[in-house]
Amino acid sequence: MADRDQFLPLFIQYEADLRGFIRSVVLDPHVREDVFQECAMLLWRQFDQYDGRQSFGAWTRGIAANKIKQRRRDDRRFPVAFSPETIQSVLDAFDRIEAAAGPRTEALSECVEELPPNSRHLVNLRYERNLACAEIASETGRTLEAIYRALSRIREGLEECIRRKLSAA
Amino acid sequence: MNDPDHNLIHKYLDGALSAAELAELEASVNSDPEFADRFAQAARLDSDLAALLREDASARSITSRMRQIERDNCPEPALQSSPDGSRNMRIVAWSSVAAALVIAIGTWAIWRSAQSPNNDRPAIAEGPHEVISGEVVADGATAVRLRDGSSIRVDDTGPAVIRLADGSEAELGPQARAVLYGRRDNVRQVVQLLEGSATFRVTKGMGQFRVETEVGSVTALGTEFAVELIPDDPPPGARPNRRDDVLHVSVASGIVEVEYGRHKFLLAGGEEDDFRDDREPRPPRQATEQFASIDLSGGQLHTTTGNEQPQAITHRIAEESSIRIDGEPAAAAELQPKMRVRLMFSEGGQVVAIDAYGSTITGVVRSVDNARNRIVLVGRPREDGSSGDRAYDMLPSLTADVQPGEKVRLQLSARGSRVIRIEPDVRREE
Repeated sequence: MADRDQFLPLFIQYEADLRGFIRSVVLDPHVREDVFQECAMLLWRQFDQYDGRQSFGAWTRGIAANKIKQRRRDDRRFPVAFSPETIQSVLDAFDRIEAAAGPRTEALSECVEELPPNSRHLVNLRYERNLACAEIASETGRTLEAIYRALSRIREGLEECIRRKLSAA
Repeated sequence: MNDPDHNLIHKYLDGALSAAELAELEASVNSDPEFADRFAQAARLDSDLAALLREDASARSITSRMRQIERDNCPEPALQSSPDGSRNMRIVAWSSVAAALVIAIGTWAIWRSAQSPNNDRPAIAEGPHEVISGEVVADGATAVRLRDGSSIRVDDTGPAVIRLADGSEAELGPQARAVLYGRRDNVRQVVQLLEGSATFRVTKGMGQFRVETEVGSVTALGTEFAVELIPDDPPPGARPNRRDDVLHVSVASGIVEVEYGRHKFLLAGGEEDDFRDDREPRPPRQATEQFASIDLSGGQLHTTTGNEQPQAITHRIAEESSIRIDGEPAAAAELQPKMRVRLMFSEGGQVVAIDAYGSTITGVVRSVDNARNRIVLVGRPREDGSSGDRAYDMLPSLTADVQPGEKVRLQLSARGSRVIRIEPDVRREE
């Protein structure tokens, strides 16, 4: 049985990973936040069932996947595009790439600071102001396809930058 | 990874995939572990970027709160290192994740609270609204008290009852979502129902009680009613839209006004109705009559007309229905035959309001004497040579702001036939 003293530090350590998994499956940001909050409550309630020998991240994502599947089953309007099989495949992928917060998050912060001004502006519009791509296209006077491509390139570059910084460290 | 694959992933994250592309993405995730890993990494990066860049004032406030909690309660070693000692972890050092820690505060507080026996519910919030029973999550944490503006969700294990600041009670169904507001203008309590169902027992008091939804609003005074948002199935391929939901309102007692689109509907105790976009508005249900007799007894309104062949009509009277004479609240016994009475009906045919007033006079103003509270209208000269002008006494509180020669309509009171209102006679000008 898990010691409840461990819950908060573990949760903080793997919270970004849990959010990433939920983000990969649930597209609506408001529903995503709801699911995250429900999962956090479930994790707290069921923490005494957590086996400390297994990855805490995998445990949290497993509970989140079950919650999402249950919501999908109970509510046909629940905004999840994936089938249960695909949700399981994504869950498996997250288990393979699991990374706790800390160095990765710090590396991302540094990489964002290094972005050229135009890219930084696009990233701010997308993530800080939470604009949809169509709104960004309208605000910047570019085509929607151009915004998709630009954001795609920026994210790919950031992923590469994070890998470089982590391997250097 | 080739470029098309990469674009597929990022278009998904931006919510831009077509149905065919989504099927292609799912097939790749299920058949190609390397593709699935790339997909997971991209989603994780997307989530991290949002957490990094969306640090707002609220998040900073939470950071501050966490620092306080850490100072007050948290043992340093437990917060600074992970259980396996592999990584140091100071929660205050990385403010960009602060927004994500709202729930951590809640869960941690629950745990602290649970340490003491006989305390199975943590008190983690302040505010004028109180959770009486059930599990309510507010702004990321389980709560026993709720502030104005709290965004709440009811746990899926059962309903929750909340005593609102004005003393009214709201019972929200499992998984219902709502925002609790306090007073707004002349509305003493506003609740925004975002999803699910809720039943309200509204206390009598000054001001209205209102439930707002994406579909319409329900306003009540001293009543018990239930509101439910019923999801409407979107057409194939269309995204769900809360505005397409069906608003179901049922009233246990009292009267509510449902505002839906540009129309208003009255529902009385025992009535229920669905409101949706394709609903045809019914004609307004009002009746203005002058009765030979009028009697309210046994929860019913009994009237007879004064025609040569008197006709008796009985209507059901709704609980909490209002009776007004000359615009002032009045008792049923004060209603007199020959008063002009306007009846308002609920959707179910119950009388919800009785407004009694005197007759209406139209004419051209001859003179106005506000000092003596008198107005004179031009009359037809009589055979005896007199002018035939008609003089009317006004209520002392009324000042006539009209000029001689102006066409006006005078509303006389039901009691005493005094002028209680003077309006331009628009109909005569047409």
